[in-house]
Amino acid sequence: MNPILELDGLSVRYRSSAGDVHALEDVSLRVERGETVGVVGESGSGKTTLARAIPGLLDPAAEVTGGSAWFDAVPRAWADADGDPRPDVVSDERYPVREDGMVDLVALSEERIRDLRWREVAFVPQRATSALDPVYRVGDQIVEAIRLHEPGTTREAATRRARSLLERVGVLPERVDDYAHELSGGTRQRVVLAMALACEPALLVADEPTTALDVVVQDRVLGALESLQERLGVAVLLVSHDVSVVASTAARVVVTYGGTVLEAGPTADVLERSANPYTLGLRNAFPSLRDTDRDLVSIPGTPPTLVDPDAGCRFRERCPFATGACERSHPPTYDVAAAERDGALEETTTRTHRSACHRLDEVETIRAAAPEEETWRATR
Amino acid sequence: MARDPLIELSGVSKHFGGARGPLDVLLGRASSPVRALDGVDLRVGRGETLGVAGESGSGKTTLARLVAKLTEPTAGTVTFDGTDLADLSRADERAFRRRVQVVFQDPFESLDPRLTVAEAVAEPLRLTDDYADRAARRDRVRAVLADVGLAPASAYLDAFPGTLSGGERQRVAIARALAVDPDVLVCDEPTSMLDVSVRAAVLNLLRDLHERYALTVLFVSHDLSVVRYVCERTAVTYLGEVVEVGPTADLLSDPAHPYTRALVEAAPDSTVGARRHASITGETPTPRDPPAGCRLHPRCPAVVPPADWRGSQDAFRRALQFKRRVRSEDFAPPSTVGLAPRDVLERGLALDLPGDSTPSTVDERGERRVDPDAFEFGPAAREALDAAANAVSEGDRASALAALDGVVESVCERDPPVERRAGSRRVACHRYDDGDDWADGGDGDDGEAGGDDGDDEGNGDGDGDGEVDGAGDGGGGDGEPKTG
Repeated sequence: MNPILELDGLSVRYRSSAGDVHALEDVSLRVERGETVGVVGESGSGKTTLARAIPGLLDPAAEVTGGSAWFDAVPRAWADADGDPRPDVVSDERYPVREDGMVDLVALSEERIRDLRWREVAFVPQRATSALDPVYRVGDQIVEAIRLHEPGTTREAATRRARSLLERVGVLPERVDDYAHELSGGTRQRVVLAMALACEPALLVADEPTTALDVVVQDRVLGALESLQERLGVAVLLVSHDVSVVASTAARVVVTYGGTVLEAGPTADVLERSANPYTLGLRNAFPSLRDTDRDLVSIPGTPPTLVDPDAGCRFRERCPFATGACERSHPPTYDVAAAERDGALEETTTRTHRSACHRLDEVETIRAAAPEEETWRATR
Repeated sequence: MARDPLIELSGVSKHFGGARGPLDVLLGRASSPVRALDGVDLRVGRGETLGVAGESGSGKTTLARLVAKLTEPTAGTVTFDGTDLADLSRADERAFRRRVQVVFQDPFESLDPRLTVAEAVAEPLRLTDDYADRAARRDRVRAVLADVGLAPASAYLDAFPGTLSGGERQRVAIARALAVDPDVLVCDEPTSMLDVSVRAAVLNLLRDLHERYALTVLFVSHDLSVVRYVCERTAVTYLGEVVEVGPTADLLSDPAHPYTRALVEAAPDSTVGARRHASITGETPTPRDPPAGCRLHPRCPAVVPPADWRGSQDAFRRALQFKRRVRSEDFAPPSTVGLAPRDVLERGLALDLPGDSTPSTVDERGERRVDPDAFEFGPAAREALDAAANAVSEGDRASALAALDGVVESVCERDPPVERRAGSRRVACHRYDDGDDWADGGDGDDGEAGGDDGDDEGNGDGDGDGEVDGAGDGGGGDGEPKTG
């Protein structure tokens, strides 16, 4: 079966007076139907650009300079009665549709992407306020959204669905008649979540959906997300700066840095058997509620600016393990298991645990040195 | 506390916007100030690092501002080194301004963009006479820049804040605070805007400075894991009150107050795939109109049943919530008139909890329902609930409330709790009124709460030992250009 989303070498740049900002560079990742994939990154990692590129909501100054975002649903204009792409569309090279029926989201016109947005791929931004219209009651907004995208739905049926969705995310049914400004931040975010899922899309892209919220409310919003996902089988791409949010909700994790993927794979592999020096460094930098004897170690330096980067590894300047090879090129992602097994560097962009590091063949040495404060002091 | 207090708050309240606006006058409304802080007693020992943890609207920032005399209390006193801050003479105030320094959350806003690093750090030196000449000032600036790890100083002296990273700016802000050799550092979310990889360095710096200079630190943060890393003792605030205070390690490993416990439960867990849910319902209400009695009681899993309650704790919590719904607009006619009494109970006893394991269904109106027979109420309570549900379905809320009177009621709705000692902590919770240590043995659902001995539900040690991480809320933006 096709994955729901397959990013293949996606690159996005912003033109600016200071130079080109390479916000995304050669990013590949897959999201299967119904699974949650977490994307973690600090500022300047490109994670927000990644999140906005998929539903076609990039800033006008952004330009897709390479790669594709293959998605397993086509605009209605190109579909047959079953919703599958028509044969003439698949065979015609002018349409960005692959033989397996997947469509390239970043190659679609605004009209076509608008047909897929909400119905098949929904987006939840960090601040819910901007997603809700202040002059409509929140229930009406959800009802309108459903009827706009599914014109056959009666008002009664849409209202029932709206109420059921709101209940599912823990918003009391009487809130349906409230306006956005009458709701608390956490309730608004849950309403937006319900609205995003009202048309039962196949993929939800959520960009820092809980960042502005207090921890108890965050817990409830994440709980709401899990419950909706379970019920609707929607796949989720959850973008966050917070490793622990991703760790507790995502089956697989993609670690981004400087617009590239540095490490990816099953959550347990990436976070507990990390292979990339950056991920290992992040783990040192995290305070913990329980493990208080451990001194934190920060990664020296600061995240890159992404303006006209050189050819070398994006993490090189902060990496204590960098060598000459790291100056010459940014590494592709290699299979971690192969490196562990026989020290081999095998390029891969599949779902297995992978890491972009020229020295992945020495992963055990790097893992052993990474927890030591000494290691990171050397590069200061 | 062994150490003598350097800072002492007693009965401190801070209310904002108490005056009646024209609209209030027009509508005949009483004024309702925002009660940012209400009756807080707190002491910070000399050389101690005290954390103040809470969610937004809990009053923690107001507390920090009061200690730094950036705002004045509406009631109560704040004393520093034995002197009431309200009584400071001009000269005393000048000395106070030197001795207590503040580091704010946003290093992007706390530094004047027109001043170089050298100028910004030298600026507070005018509060003292110790660095009268230029050379002395310059040496001092170089020394504190080295102290905060900005080396070589020459690389930073002439830089403007705009050219520095977030972590560097926060170090400059800390250097500026340290320049005058203060006794106290008041830090308000000093690392929440910083990326994780950078934040650790600032946290280490604060710990290091505390030890090296015997600084007293008041550290305000929403992030428990950060508080745990930096602070020896911690005060937890909720809706303008301190609900629990004690040694940080004890407070977080075995929370005494139900709210502290909820914060710990809700902190995202870096253990892969494992997520616990906070056992409190709903969201923090507005500090304009905080609930009567204990401010947490409408959300609390441990709300105290009357002495003659025969059912389970979970059943009591649900019954009390049912009563609150009957009293509120939730169950106002006409929405409930004509509903079968059983339907009223099925809806009224459902809790809004993501982690609630009680089987529930969602009905055709989109409302969650639970089976009333699934809870252990005891005969008197069940009778009262049935009578109340009958009355609700007839649209008679007054009779419904009368039926619940005397059966479903809690000291927590009535009286504000008095702060009590519980082991190493001080806790404001009715669970400790009889001096009993309280623990609900895990998730707060089915512990037996009944009987005359009321409070003691067994002594489970709280919760699992999963490692709990929190990354804070920093680094929201992506650093990408905003054009338009």
